Amino acid sequence: MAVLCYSEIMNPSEIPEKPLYASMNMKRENPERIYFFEKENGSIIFAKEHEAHRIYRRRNQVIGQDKEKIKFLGSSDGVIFFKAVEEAKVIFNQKGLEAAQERIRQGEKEELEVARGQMIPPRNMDAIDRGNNPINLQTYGNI
Amino acid sequence: MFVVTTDPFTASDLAAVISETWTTIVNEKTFNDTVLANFVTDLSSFAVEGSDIFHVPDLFTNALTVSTQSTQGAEITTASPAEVDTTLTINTHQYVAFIIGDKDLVQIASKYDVNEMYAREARNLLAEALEQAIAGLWSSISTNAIGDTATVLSDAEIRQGIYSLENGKYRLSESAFFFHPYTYWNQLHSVTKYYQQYSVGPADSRGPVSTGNFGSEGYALNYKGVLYGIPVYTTSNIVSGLQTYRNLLLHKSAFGFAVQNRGGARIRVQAENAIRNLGMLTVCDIKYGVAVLREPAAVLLNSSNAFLGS
Repeated sequence: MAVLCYSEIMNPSEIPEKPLYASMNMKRENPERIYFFEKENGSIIFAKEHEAHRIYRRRNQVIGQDKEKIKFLGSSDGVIFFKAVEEAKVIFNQKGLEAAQERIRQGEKEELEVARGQMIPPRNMDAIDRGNNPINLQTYGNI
Repeated sequence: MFVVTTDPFTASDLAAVISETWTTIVNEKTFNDTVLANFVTDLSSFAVEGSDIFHVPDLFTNALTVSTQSTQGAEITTASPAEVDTTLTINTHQYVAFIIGDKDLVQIASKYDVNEMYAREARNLLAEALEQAIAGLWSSISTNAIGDTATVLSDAEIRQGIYSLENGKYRLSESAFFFHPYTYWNQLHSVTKYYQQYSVGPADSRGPVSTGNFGSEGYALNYKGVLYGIPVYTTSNIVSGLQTYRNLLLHKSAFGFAVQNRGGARIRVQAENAIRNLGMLTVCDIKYGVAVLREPAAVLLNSSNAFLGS
């Protein structure tokens, strides 16, 4: 049986590697409290509260090297970044993907600047209730 | 001649005799299949006989070197690279506990084994907790971090990740992708190269649009086929933050974990009739530690959920 193959129809150099058309996810996400950390190599990482608690308490073990020192930079409510994403949706329609991406990256930097110095650490998430909120096991009440 | 009725029975009039039936079907909570703990290095067998700290000698940080014998007959130079003593500590003990009072337990319809159903849910919750802890190791990846908060994951980034592993001399045959379902469905499946017939193969080959995955016919255990010869798994336990998913490409030696439980099972489920509380107490628990064993053997593939590929 002859096998039909389309490999000759398209010039391989025209094969797109990125999505041909990216669009914005219009689902509205809620702002979330975010915690920023600086790693030894200078890179900035951020995490939501549950995971930030693990990083803050240095629970992550790294074998093969000294335990990496991670500096807590601060935390914020995530509203600045949330607004940046909303703006990026408008920018995407007007100026395209790259401009929208740039606005999001800028939003991340702005959020970091707001968070810097707000040394509100993540809550202790070792014991949580059904709603993923931390609880005090001695009182069974919310912390 | 018709008889005109002006006051027929309504359902509310008959409420006292209309019965209700509790079906045997129960909609239980759904969970991810375990994929990360089934793939990365499992040190649990060493924990069976006790101990809290597990040493894994590291010979790769300081490796042997090749010397050249430039003068025939000359004395050779031997190498003695210092080994690095590395450890994994089992430092996390998590549990889910619930109690159902004797009166309620007796009165619950006999068709429902409530205790068993909640025990199953608790066990799955703890299995996901271990998965989340392993996925949470992304924050220790520095060497191979690709993409950022504004990245729409592309084929170029996928290949860049694969290159990083191979360049580090890690066997690709022992590696796997772990994507968040958002990244997998909304971004990867929009990469034209992945679904066009020229890459799928002969016209009678079933591609991703037909099967939903890359070269696999089913979704068992969240396995989604192979991408560039590397198995692909999906799990929503992949970490997110600031609308960014922390997808992973891992060699199996990159991350490790150890689970320690009396009896050997990963998750222990115990139930007892608690006289003091007049109820049935059920407790599920797990003791584990997770660690990055070889940091360069992991690739972090960031992707923003602000974008859809189409």
